[in-house]
Amino acid sequence: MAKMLGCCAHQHWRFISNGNGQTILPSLFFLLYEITTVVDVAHRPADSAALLTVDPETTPYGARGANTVTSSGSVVDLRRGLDKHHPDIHIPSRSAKPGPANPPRSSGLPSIERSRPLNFRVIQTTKTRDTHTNQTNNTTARGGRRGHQSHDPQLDNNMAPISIPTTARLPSSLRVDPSNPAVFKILNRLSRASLLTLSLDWLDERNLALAAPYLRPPSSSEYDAEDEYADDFNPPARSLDALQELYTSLQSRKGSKREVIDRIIEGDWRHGLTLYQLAMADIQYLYDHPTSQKWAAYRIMPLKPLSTNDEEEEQQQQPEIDKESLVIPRFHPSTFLKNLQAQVPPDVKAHYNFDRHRTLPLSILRIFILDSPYNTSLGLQSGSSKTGHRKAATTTFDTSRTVYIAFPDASPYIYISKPQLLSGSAPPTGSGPGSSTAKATGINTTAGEAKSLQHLLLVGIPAALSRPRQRFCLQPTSLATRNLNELLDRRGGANTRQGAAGGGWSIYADEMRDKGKDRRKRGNRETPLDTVLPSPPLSEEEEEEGDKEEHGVGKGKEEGNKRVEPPLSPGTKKEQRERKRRKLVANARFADTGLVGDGKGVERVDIVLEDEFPSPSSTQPSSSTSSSSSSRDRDRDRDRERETPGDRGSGSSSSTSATAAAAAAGKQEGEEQWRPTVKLTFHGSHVFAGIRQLVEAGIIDGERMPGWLTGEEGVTVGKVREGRIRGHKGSGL
Amino acid sequence: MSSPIPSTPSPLDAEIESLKAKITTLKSHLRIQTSTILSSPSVSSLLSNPPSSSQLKQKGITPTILKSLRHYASLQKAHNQQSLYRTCATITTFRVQDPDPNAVDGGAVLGLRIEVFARGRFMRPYYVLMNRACAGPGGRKEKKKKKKKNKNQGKYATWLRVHRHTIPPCVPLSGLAARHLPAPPSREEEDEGREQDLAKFARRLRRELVRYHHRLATITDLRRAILAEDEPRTNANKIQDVTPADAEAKQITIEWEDGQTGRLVMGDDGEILKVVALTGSGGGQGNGSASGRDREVVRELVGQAKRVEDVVRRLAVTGSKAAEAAAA
Repeated sequence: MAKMLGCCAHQHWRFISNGNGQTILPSLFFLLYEITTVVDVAHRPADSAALLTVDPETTPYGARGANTVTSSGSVVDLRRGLDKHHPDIHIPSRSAKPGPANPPRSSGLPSIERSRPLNFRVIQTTKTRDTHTNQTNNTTARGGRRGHQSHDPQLDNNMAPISIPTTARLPSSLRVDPSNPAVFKILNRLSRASLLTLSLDWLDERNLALAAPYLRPPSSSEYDAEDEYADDFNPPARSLDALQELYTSLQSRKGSKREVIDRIIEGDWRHGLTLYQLAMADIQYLYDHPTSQKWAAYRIMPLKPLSTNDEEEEQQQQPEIDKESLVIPRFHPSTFLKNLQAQVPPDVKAHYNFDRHRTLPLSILRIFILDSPYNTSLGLQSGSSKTGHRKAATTTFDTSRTVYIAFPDASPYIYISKPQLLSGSAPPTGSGPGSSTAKATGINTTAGEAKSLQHLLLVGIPAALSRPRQRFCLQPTSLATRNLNELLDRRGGANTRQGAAGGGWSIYADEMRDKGKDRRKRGNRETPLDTVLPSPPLSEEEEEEGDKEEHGVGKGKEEGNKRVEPPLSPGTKKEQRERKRRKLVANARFADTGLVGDGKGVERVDIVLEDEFPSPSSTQPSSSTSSSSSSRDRDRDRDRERETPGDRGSGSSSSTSATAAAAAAGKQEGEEQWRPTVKLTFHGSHVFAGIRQLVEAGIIDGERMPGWLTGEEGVTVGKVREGRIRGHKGSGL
Repeated sequence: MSSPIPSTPSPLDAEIESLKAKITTLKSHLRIQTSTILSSPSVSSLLSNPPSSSQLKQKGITPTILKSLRHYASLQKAHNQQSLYRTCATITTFRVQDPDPNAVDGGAVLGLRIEVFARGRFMRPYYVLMNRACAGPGGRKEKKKKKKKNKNQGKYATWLRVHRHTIPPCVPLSGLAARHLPAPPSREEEDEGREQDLAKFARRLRRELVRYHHRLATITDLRRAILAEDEPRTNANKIQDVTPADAEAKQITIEWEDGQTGRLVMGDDGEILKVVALTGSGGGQGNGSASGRDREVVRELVGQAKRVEDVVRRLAVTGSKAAEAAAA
C-alpha cells in the first residue's frame, strides 16, 4: 500500500515539476501540498468517513486543507490523550475566526492562493474523539518512518494540541525537540565559553519567559525513596538560582564543550529549546564569528507614486525609481515585521528575532524560515513524514533557512545576508532511495531555490517598508562583504561621511576619527576660525614620518659614525628615498584607508575589464589604459606571490592574490577596437590593504595605478571601462 | 609622595613623555604666534615697505629671509581671506586634482565646501566634489571619438556631475542633484529644457544640511532640558529619554518613566507636526486594554507650543519652577 502511494506521489510530483519547469519557492510548497492530498485521498476509503465531516462537494482546495489538518490533528489528538501536560489549545487568532469568513470557493483556485485559514468547522471535527481509529490509521499511514520519537510523550509534551495551517508567524515560545539534530548542530557551533554565557543569558530574568529550563517539580525530593531522577545523568535543578550557580561554576571550571551541550540538551532543557533560544544561539554565533555571514548592501530607493486614475496602466507599468525624490526612508521595526509577515507566503513559516548588535550601530533581524504550513511544533518535526514515502531523513528543520537582515541606524541602506541552510554545507543525506526522494521532493536546496528565496526577500522587504502612497524598492549597491564594519563605513548611517569618499578622498571625510586622538589636534577640524596656516596634509605626514624615519635612520647613522660602520652607500640612500616616496604616494592614493589593521577589509573584489586592447599603434605611453596597466599589475601580483610575501611584516595576512581569467570576446562591430573581457578577482583578508602594501613595496606603480584599485569606489563588483568603474558614479547617486 | 616608585614606567620614561607633550604644545604655540604676527597689519606693512637693507643687516635679516617671510605672509593672507569667506559665505569652492590617472576631464575636480554652524561651533565642513563628466577625454586617448561627439557635447561640456561627497546619507543629495544638476540627456532629441544650476543646488544642499543639524541640536536641547530637571516631581510622570527615531532626525521617540512611549514628528524646520503618546506601552502595566492615545500627556508636554523649541522652553520653565518649589 505504502509503495503504491509512493509511486502515486512520485508520479504526481514529476508531472507537476515537469509542468513547472523551473520551480520557484512558492510553487515548491504547493507541490508538497499536492502530494499530501494524494496520500490522503488514497486513504480515504479506509477512514475518511470517520475522520471528516467535510462534504464531498467541497472544492479540491478545501478538501486538501481539511485532509491535511485532519490527519495531523488526529495525531495530536491522540497525544492529548496520552499527555495532559498542556491542555491548552493553541489556535492562532487568524485561523480561529469561525464560519464564513473564508468560505471555500467552488472553483479551482490559482495555485498561488492556497492555504487560507481553515474553517472552524473543520477544526471542530478534528476534535472528535474517535482516537482509536485515528491512531491505527495514522500509524499505518506513516508506518514506522517516524520511529519512536513522535509517540514519546516526554518529548512531545510541548506540542500544541491542534495544528492547523495558518498564516501566523512561528511563536518564539515554540519548543524544538532537543533530540532534533538541528539543535545539536546549532549549539555545537558555539564555543564552550559562549555556550555558558548563552545559557546564563537564557536564565536571565528577561529571557526566562521564553527560555524556561526544566526544573524538578517541587513535590519530588531528593531524599525520597524513589527519586525519579535518581539515575539521571543530568538531574534537573531544584531552582533557578541553583541552575544559575551551576552554570556560573561551570564557567570557572575547565571542561569539554560536549559536557555543556549534553547538560543543556539532556538536562536542563530536556523538554525542548524554544525557537527564541535557538535564535539567541545563532546570533551568539554571529557575534563570535563576525565574518560568518556574507552581507550584501542594498539601498532603499523611493519609487515614483503611481497616478491613481489610470489603473490599467498601473498594473502593467513597473513603478519607476524616483530619482528626484527627497524622501529618506524610515524604518520602524515592529511595523516592518508586521508588514513583512503579511508578505510571507502562507506555506512558509518564519520566526523573527530582532537583536541589537552589541558593538555596532545595527539592528539585526534573524529570519528563520521553515517550509511548513503549521506554526506549531508539528511544523518543526514532521516535514518529510507527511510527504515522503521513503526513509527521507530530512525533516523540515533541515530545509529551514536562516537569513539575517541588518538595519544600520539612521541609514537608507539595509544589508541582507546570504540565506543559509541550517544543515550547513553538507549535501542532503540519504543513499539509494532516500536520495532520490530528496531529489524528487526538492528538499535539497538548490542554488536556484536560494536565489528565489533571495528574490522573495528582495520583493518582500521593500513591500514591508512601504506605506500607502510611499513605496520603496531595493537597489543593489554592488558591495558584498563579510565585514560589517566596512559596510557600515561605506553604506552606513548618519555619522558616516565616507560612503562616497573612499580611498584618497577620505581626507575630506575623516572627522577627527583617528587624527583627533593621537595626532595633532590642529587641522583636523578645519574650522574657518582657525587662523593657523594649514600645511597641506601630505607635507605634514611627510614631516612627521620623515621625522620618525630620520630619527631611526639618524640614530643609526650617528651611532654608525661613532662606531666603525661605514656610512650608507648612495644606493641604499636612494633606495630609502624611493621607499619614502612610495609611502607618500600610497598615502596620497589611499589616505587613511586600506591599512592592514583597520578592520575594514573586503575579502573579495571582482572586476571585469572591458577596455580596448592596447593597440601597438597607440604610441603615447601615457595612453596606456587600465587594461594594460592592470594586467601589468596582475603580472606583478603574480611576481609578488612568487617572491613570498613577508618582507613587510604582516604581508602574508593580507597578501592579495589576483587571479585573472581572460576570456576573449568577439570583435565588436566596425571601427570599435577589440575589447577582450578580462576578469580580475582579488582575494585576501583585506584586499585594498594588500594593494596598498604592494604600492608601498614598489610593485605597483602608485601614480599610474587606476583609481578603482584603491577601493575608493566602494564596490566589490564592478565593470571597468576606460579605466573607470562604469555605471557607478562613485557618489552612490 | 611616600609611595614607592612603580616598577613598570620608569620615571625617566615619564619625563620623556611629558617633555614630548611639552614640545608639541610649544610647537603649536609657535605656529599660532607665527600666524598671528604674520597676519597683523603692522607686519604686513613692514614687509611691503621694508626699511633699508643696512638696518636689516644689523638685525641679521638677509634678503632671502625677507623673501621667505614675504612668501609666508602672502600665504597667510590668502588663508585669512579664505577663512573669512568660509565663515561668512559658508559655501566656498576650490579645485582638486583627481589622483586617478584615468579620471575624466584630466582629473579636474571642482570642490564645494559647505560650512555648517551648529551648537556654537563650526562643524567639519561637508564637501561635494564634482567633475565635468562630459568634458571629454579621460586620458588623452580618445581624441578621435571626442571629435565625433563634440557636437552634442558642446553644450554639456561644462555640466557637472557629483563625483565624491561627504554628505551623510540622511540628506537627500541624490534627489537634489537630480533636480538641479541633472545628467545630460542620453539622446539628443530629449528634453532641451534641462538646465544645471549649481548655485541653486549648493544653496538647497546647504539648507538641508543646516536644517538637519538644527534638528539634531534641538533634540539635544530637549534632552538636556529633560535631564536637567532631576528633582523628582512627585505628581507628574517624568520623561525619561528622548531619542531621534529616524535618519533625518525628524521623529523623536519620547519615553516616560512609567513605560509610556510617544512620538513627536517635526517638520523640516522644527515645527511640530504630530505628537502621539500611547498609554500602557505593553510593559508591565497589566491593564489588558491595548494601547491607545493618551491625549492628556501630550497636552501636558506640548501645550500651546508650535515648535519643538517651545517645548524645550516649556520644559526648562517647569523644571526651574519645580526646582524652586522644591527649594521652598
